[in-house]
Amino acid sequence: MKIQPDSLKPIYVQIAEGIEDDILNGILKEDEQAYSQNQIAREFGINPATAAKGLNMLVEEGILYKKRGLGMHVSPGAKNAIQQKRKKVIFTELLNELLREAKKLNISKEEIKLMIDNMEGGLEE
Amino acid sequence: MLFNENYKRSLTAFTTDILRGFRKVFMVVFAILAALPVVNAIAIASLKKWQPQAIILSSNGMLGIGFFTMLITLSISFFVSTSNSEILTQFVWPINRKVYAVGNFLVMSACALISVSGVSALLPVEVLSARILKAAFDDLILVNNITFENFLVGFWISFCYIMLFSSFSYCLGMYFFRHKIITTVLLILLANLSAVPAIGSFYNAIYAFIFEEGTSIMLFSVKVWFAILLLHILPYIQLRRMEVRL
Amino acid sequence: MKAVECSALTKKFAKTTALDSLTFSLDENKIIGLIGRNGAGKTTFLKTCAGYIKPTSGEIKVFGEKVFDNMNAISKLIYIYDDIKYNDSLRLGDILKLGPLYYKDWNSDFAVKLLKRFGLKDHMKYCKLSRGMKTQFNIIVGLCSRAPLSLLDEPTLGLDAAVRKDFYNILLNDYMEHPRTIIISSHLLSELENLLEEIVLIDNGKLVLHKSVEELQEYGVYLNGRSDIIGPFIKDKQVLSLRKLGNSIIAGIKNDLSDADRSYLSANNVDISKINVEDVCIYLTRKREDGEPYAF
Repeated sequence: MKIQPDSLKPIYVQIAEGIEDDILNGILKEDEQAYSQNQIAREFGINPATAAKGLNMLVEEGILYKKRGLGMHVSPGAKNAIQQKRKKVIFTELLNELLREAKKLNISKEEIKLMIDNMEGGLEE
Repeated sequence: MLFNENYKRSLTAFTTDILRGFRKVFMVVFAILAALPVVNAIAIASLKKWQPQAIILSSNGMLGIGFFTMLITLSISFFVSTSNSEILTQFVWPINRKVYAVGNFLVMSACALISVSGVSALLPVEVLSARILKAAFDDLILVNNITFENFLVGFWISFCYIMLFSSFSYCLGMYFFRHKIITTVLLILLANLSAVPAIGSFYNAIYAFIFEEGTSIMLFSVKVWFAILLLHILPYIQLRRMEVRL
Repeated sequence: MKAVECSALTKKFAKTTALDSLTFSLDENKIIGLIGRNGAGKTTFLKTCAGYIKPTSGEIKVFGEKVFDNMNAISKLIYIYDDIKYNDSLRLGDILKLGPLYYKDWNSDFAVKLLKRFGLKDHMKYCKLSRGMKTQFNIIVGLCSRAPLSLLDEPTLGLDAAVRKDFYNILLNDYMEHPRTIIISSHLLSELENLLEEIVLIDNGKLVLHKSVEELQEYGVYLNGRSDIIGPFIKDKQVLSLRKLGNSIIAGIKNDLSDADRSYLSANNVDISKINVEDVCIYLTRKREDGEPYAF
C-alpha cells in the first residue's frame, strides 16, 4: 500500500483503495484481520482520524466489518464485491470518456452502437 | 477549595520544589558556620603563643552569628524570588496564585525553622572546640550564658524574627518588582521623613511597640505573627490581578 | 465536553487588540493546528488558554471551567513555548523529577527514553543547553506530562529537518497510545498537515476559519503544466497561489473544475494534484485594507 501525498485523491481515499488492493492481491484474506487505524497511522505518519476515515468508508461499503474487541476484519465476499465495484466504476469512467470523445468528433449514438456490433471480439448477446 | 485534590497536589509539589532549591543554600551556609569555631580556635591557639594575656571566649557566639547570617540570606532570597522572571519560572508548572502565596508562607516557615534548628545543631561544634581550647590553655575564660530556658526562648524569638524579616522582604519585593519607581520613591520618602521630629518619634514608637522585649513572650508572639500574616496578605492582593509575563 | 471553548474572547494590550472576539470550541482528543502569520495572536491565545493572562472580555473555558487561576483547569494542561526558563542552575534530571509531583499522569520512563533518544543527559544544566537542545527538552516535558490538554507553541523552532521528523513520529505515536487534546501552533504547516485533524486559522486576532484538514485540502487544486496552457486557463479563475519554473507554472486554484475542464487539462498534459493546506491558509490571510478576514 502506498500513499502519494501529491495525488489528487484525499489520503483517506488512497488508504481505502490501498486496502482494497491488498484484498484483491490476497495479502488480506477474507474473515481475517485487516489493518488497524493505529497501524496505518504509524506506517504513514498521518493522523489516526484520517486512517479511521478510510477504514470506515470500507465498513460502510461492507468490505470490512468490525469484530468486537478484535478490530477490523475483511468481510466474506469482499474480494468479489471490490471486483464488481471497480468494474462498475472503471467501466463507467471509460464510457464517460468514450461519450466525451464521441461528442467532440460528432459521432452519434447509433454510430457507436454500429461500431460496437462490428467490433472484433464483441460482447456476447 | 482547601481540600481540592488538584490544589493539594500542586501545593505539595510547589513547596517541595522550592525547598529542594534551598538545599544548596543551607548546605553552604551551614558549612561556613560550622567552620567558624574551628577557624576561631586555630586563630586563638596561634595567638596564645604571642599573647600571654587571658582571653575570654564565648561558647555560644555561633547562635548570634548564625542568626544574623540566616536572616540576611533568607531575606535576600525571598526578595529576589518575587521578581517577574523568577515568578515566571514557577508558573511554568501548574500552580495558581493561591498555591504560590500559601506555598511561600509554608516554605518560609520551614526555612526559618531549619535555619534556627540548624544553627542550634551546630552549637556542639563550638562548645567542643571551646572545651578543647580550655583544656589546652588553662587561663582561658569560658563564658557560657545559655540555660535551657533561655535557649528555648531564644530559639522561638529567632524563629519569629527570621520569619518577620523574610516576610517583609517578600512583601516588599512583590510590590517593588511590579511598581519599581513608586516603591523606591516611597521608601526614600519614608526614610527621609524620619528626620522630621514628629514622624521620627512615631517610627520609634512603632518600633518599640513591636520589638519591645521584656514583656511577655505571648504578647510578643501575637504581635509578630499578626505582622507576619499581614505581610503575606498584602502581596497576595498584588498577586491576584497579576498576569504572568516577562 | 469540549476541551477548549471560547466565546467572544478578547484581549487588549495598551495599544493593540491581540484577540478580537474569538468564538470557537475544540473537541477532546484531537490534534489541532493553530495557524496564523506572525503577530496573528497565536501565542496570545495560547497564553490565555493556559491561564497566564486574563481575557479583557469574553471567556475561555478548558474542560468546562474558566481557566485563569483555576487549579481544576490548570492541573489538566501544560503549555510549552520557546525559551521556557527554569530556575538557574537546575539540571535536567532535577527538572524531570519535579514532573511527577505536579502532573498526575506524568510518565518518567518515557522521559528517560526520550532523553536518551535526543542525546541529552540528566546532569546537564538547563541554562547551558543550546537553543535546539532546550527545544528538545521542552518537548520531553510537554509529552511526558501526558496532560489532557497539551499546548505546544512552535515546538519545532531551532530543530533541523531530521529532528523535526523524529518529533512528529514521537508525537503521533504517543498520541495514539495516550489520546489527548494537543494544540500545535506552527509556521511549518506543510510538514504538519498530515498530523493534524483540524485547523484553526486566525489573522489579526480574528478567527478566519476552524475546519477539518480534509475540508481545507479539498478547497483547491494544483495545476502543473506549461505556462502557455495554464496562463490563459486560469485567467478567469480564482487563483490561490502561483509558482513559475522556467516554462512551466504550478498554479493553485479553487477546486471548481468541471469535467470539461479536466478533460481539457489532461489532454494538454497538465497535472492536477491536491493543494497544500499552507497555500490555502496563506491565501485566506493575505493583506486586506479593512482588516476583515477573507471568507472561506
